[in-house]
Amino acid sequence: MAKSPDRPATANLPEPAPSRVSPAALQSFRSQLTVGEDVVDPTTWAGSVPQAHGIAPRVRVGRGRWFNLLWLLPIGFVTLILAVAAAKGLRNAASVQRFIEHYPGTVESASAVRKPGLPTWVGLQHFFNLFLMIFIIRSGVQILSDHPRLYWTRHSTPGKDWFRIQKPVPADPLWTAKKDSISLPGQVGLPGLRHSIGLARWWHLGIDTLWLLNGLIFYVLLFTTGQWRRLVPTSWDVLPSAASALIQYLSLDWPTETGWVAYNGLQLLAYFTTVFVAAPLAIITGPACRRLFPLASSGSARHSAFRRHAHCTSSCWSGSCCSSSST
Amino acid sequence: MLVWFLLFIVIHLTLVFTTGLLRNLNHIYAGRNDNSWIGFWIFAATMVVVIVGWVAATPFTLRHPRVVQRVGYALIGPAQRLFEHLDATPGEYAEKDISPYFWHNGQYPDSEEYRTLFDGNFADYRLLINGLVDNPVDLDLAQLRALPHHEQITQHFCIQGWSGIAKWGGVSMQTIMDLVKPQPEAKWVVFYSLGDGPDKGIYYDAHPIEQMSYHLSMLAYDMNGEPLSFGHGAPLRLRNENQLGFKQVKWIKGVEFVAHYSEIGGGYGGYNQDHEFFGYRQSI
Repeated sequence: MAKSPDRPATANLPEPAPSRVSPAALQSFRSQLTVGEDVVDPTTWAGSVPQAHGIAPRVRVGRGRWFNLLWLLPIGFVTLILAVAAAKGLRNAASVQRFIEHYPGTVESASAVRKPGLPTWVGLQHFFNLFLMIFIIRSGVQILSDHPRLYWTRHSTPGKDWFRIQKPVPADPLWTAKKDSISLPGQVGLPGLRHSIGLARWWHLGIDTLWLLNGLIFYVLLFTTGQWRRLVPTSWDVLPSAASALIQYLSLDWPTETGWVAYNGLQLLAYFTTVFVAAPLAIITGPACRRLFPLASSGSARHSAFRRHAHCTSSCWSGSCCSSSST
Repeated sequence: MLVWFLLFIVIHLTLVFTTGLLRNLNHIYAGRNDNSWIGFWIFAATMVVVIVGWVAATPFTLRHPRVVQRVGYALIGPAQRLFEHLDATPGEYAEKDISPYFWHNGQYPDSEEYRTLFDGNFADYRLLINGLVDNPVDLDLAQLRALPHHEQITQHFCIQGWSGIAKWGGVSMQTIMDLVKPQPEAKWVVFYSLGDGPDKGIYYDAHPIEQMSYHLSMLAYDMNGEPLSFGHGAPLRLRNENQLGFKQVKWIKGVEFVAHYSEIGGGYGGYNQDHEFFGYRQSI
């Protein structure tokens, strides 16, 4: 193509008008994105992060000493044996025998005797509760494993954790929280893989809403049918009754089973605490704590690390009691 | 705690089994007070449901993670959106509250592009802001630092459960929006990183445009009074204190105003949403 003599040479052209906008400002980064998979491949999950297992749970005592909680197994066993021995000894005492005679363990009110038994909805809700709790607990442990440490304060300083299921934080200045996460066996955690918190949270929070619904229905039915009388202690006699029941259980000469009519004092306390203290506490210290209570926003309750500590602690209590109380 | 919990399950099962199993099962499952096998069989049937549910949960999750993501969001998403509205003013702190240790996280950038910029002290760095805006711009660090300075001491909440307080210095997102003038169709703001995510492709995340006007939404180039370090997102990172840590994109190279995030990447609203099945809005 022949050069037109009319066109000026490049060097003669004027500079473009000054502007903040250059052609680069219109460049798009969309082509540098990738689309995710729709199936989880455990071998390539989270950038092929290798599975890494944690350690037995440890609690910090003092500055740098850690107590392995597995020691609680033998300690608990020995304590139980000693308690049984003590209770058996107590039952030989005449005063204790009189005490148990006076407080057999269960306070049976006249109304309870008239209307014994458990309605069908209790059985159904008990089943929903235990079924939902499986997924809540498994995904809860999974969430804990994504940052396998608990702290007392809003700071998350290595070495200042009071509980961990992971080795101490390495000295590497670029150690990441993701590298700190641990895997769980697939049938313990949900879904078990290291750093699968995204999926675990859907299980934990999603099933939580169903568990909450089940609990709300339980509250409503409890108070509209009068069944609350079985769960709420209405007399201080519950305390000596609980003591009596405890001595009888520990001495291996168990109290008469009265669950059809009324729970014994020990059951009553455990059940009441679970339904009216621990379960609401687990909810309050969960997500609700950070967002629902503006008053708590400036206090320690808001701080994720602390809140998580409170939530994990109270959930473990409620989890345990929910399962222990119906005997 | 877990030991505590296991202990209680053991006690519960021990007592149920030893204080008259058939009668106890009749109490709870059959509403009758005798030693027939009716309660036991109902119990056995529920145990089949429990075992199937238990065993199937993990394989199902790995095979159908998008279903878990969708159903989970349907169950808890409305509550999360509600919480965003109930508490749109996150806490601010004083200098004395700044955390002595702030966890690093995510995948560090290791591209040639980033290394060249880093080695050149980011002299050649340009932040591109474009999309549905009247005035697309590219800004170098000197220009960014010349914009009105904004500072805040806030708490970072990681989805994993750790937190830390730091002082962030930079430019308020409102200043940026005044500069680029988003068009009315712009509803989401996408932040692109210089770094790749763990499964290749650059890291990104989308934020609702209304949260960009919040007092505590900013682009930070300083952390605790010093220029942002490599590990914490040099030269520029996002702070939107209404969202969890994974949405605070580090090593930012571009900001795009879009109508909806579904047109970006995998379409779920961010890298972790596309690749690790997070939720696009996780205030809790």
